[in-house]
Formats: sequence, structure tokens, C-alpha cells
Amino acid sequence: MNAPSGRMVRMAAPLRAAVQRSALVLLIGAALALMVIGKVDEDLARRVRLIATDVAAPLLAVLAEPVAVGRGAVAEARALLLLREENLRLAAEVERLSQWQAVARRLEQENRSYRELLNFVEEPAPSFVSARLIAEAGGPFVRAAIVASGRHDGVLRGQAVVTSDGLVGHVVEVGERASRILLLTDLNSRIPVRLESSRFRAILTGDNTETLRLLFLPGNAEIAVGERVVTSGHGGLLPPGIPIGVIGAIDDAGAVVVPFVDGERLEFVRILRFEPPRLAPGIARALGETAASGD
Amino acid sequence: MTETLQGRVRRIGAALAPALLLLLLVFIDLLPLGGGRLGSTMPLLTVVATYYFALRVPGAVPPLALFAIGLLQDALTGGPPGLGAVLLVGVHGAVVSQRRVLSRGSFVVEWAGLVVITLGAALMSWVLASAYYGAPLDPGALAIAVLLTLAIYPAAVWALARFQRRFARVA
Repeated sequence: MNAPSGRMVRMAAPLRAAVQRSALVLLIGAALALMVIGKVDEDLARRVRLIATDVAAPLLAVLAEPVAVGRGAVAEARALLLLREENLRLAAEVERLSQWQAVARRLEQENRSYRELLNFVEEPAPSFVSARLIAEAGGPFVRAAIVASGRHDGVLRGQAVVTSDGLVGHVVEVGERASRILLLTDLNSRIPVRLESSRFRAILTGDNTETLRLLFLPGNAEIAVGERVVTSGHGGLLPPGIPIGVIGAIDDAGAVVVPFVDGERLEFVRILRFEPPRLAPGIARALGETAASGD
Repeated sequence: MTETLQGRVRRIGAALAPALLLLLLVFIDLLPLGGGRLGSTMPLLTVVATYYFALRVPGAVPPLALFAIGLLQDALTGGPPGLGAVLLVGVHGAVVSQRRVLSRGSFVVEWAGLVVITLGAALMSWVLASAYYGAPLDPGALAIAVLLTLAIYPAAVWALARFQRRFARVA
């Protein structure tokens, strides 16, 4: 075969460059189109994410293992360094909690007798699934995590995810063996909450920063720095009373809440299998009859 | 001379190595390192690798592979679908268009190129993500990610150069 002439080479180089440029423009255009499709058809985007998460979960689990070991070693070393301080702190805490224990026992007894008097319907204690965190989507625009438990383990969409410190977030997507958790700090997180002492209700939102914001507080709400924020249980998805955080500051835009959960200790989480309390049979029957007569 | 099967496998493996490395970086970006409170910020590792390969090993990762890797990244992080693909293909395109300037200068010029291109890419992704979510997003986490990306570049170049030498030897 003859070698290409100099003229052909001169013509081919700009042509190749033009084709490459067009390919880049086409790919960027396709990616932008996918963004629009993902926005219009969120269910499709969710299904694609689920497939990718399920397929990637085993590899993520393998990669997360040495990270967990490393984090454990760092935590151990830090604990050893602070052993004396930690011992003193724990001794003081035991003393403080012993006093609280006496108060709690008395209140528990009192509560039990009031509940018996009022024939109060107890809410079922939620059971839970323990799940290991295998990925943390700490991107600039998303605050989410992936756990190695899915539909196979009884995880359902909307379930609350907690640690011993408090609420972490809730399950937004459930695959066969892995699930995605939307963290409290994500921009799209909206949790119905209650201020623990003043009992005012509000909606807690994330804004992709490390703190949270209280929205829709009643105009007459008196809020104070240091007040604890807990789930209200409204909407029936999350159990009431799960600690979330504490009001850290109050500014013109409202209250800033600092979450209790420490990301550094986030390794295992509990996914609560919460069923909202059902109406007492008599009330449910009465409501059913009213609805039927109204038809 | 006919190539042995082993030789062909090694050659194909070496050709795929940069794309596979980028794929691995997607997963490393997701590791639960547990910094900060509820969601740590990582450097944009895939952006660093895309910049490096586009500049120093032209053709190592084709734009179509970057597109696919970006889409996978979006699917795994749960971010706007297509945003990662725009970012990686955009960085590749920007480097390719300025390769003559960037590759002839010193390392400082190369680093300055990364600063300009990463800032441009970050601004573009912030605008697109804000449009996607319908509200201006807090740029704090993105700013930290960009600073981390720029800070790790010298170390990343050292590691990527070693990696590149290794797969070039195999090829």
C-alpha cells in the first residue's frame, strides 16, 4: 500500500480534530439530556441507581473492609492516648446518670400507672436490622450513604436509620442486597421534628453542610440554644422521640441544629422496622362506618 | 511474528489500565472514611486522573469511557444523572484544547492549568446541580473538594506517573 501523501496527512489532521471535537460536544449534549431525563422521570433515574448500587455493593463491601480496620485502629490509638481523661469523664457521667436513673425509675412507675388508668394503647417497639456502611457519597452536592442490607434483609423505603447517638437519615432506595440512605444533612432531607421541651413542631432540613435548619416553626415559638430536637413521628414514617440534635445557634434565617451523630463513628447503623400505631379497633370501626355512611 | 495469547492479554490489559484506574477511583471516592459530621468531602479524584491522562498520555482514556465512568459515578453517589459525565468529558475537552500550552510549560504551568480547569469545571457543575435541584446550593463542600483536589495534585502526579510507567512497560 502506498504511504499517504503529505497533502492527505495535512487534510486528515484537521478532519480528525473536528471529529474529536464533535464527539466531545455530542457526549456533553448526551449527558445534559440525561440530566433532563433524570429530572423529568425520577423513577427511571432511581431504578438505574438501584441496579448500579446492587451491582457495585460487593466490591464496595470489599473495599470498605480495610478502611473499617484502619478507622478502628485510629480510634483505638486515640482512646489509648486519652484513657485517663476518658476515665475521669466516665466516672463523672456515671455519678450524674445514677441520679438520673433514680428519677427515671420513679417517672417510669408513674407513667405506667397513668397509662393503666387511661387504658393507653402502647406503641409497638420497633425491631431493627443492623447494617454495615459500605459507601459514603460525600460528594459536593449529595449527602448519602450505602449500606450492605436490602430487601432481602427486610429493609423498606422510608425506614429510619439510627445509631446509639440518634437519627442518621432514612432509607430512600432499596436494592436486593444494598440500600441507599439519605443523610439528614442532604439538601433533599425533610424530617418532621419537635423541640423536646417546648413541644413546638417544625420541619428539619439539610443544606449539604454539617448543620441542619429548622423550618416552619410557629410564629410564637420560643426557641433557645441548647434545646434538643427529636422526631415528631408525624407522617407515620419515623417513630417519635428519636434524638436528632441540639439547637446550636439562632440567626435571622431561623435555628441551626447540630446533629448528634458523629460521622467519624459511623460504621454500623440500625434500620428501624417501624409500623405506625393502628387505631384502636373500636375507633377504626366507628371511622369505617362514618366513611361508609358518607359514600 | 504472531503475538502470543498471553502477550495479547497483557497488551489489552495495559491499554485498559487507565480507564480501570479511573473506575477504581470512583469507588475510592465513595469509601466511608468518616471525616466530619454526616458526610465527608473527598477530593475530585476522577478529575485529577482525567486531567493527568488527557495531558500526559493522550488517548489513554477515550471520551466515551469517561462518559460511562461519569455516569456510573452519578449512579453510585446519587447525584444528578449526567453531571459527572459532563464534568469528566468537559475536563478532558478543555485539556485537549490547551494541551500545546500546558504540556510545554513547567510543572507549575501544568498545576496552574489544573487550577483554571478545575475551577471552571466546579463552577459549571455548581450551576448545573443548582439548576437540577431548583435552588442555589451551598458551595462550601464544593470549594473544599476543589482545594483538596488542587492540593493533592503533586502527590497524585507522582503516583500516576509510577502507574503509567508500569503499564507502559507491560504494553
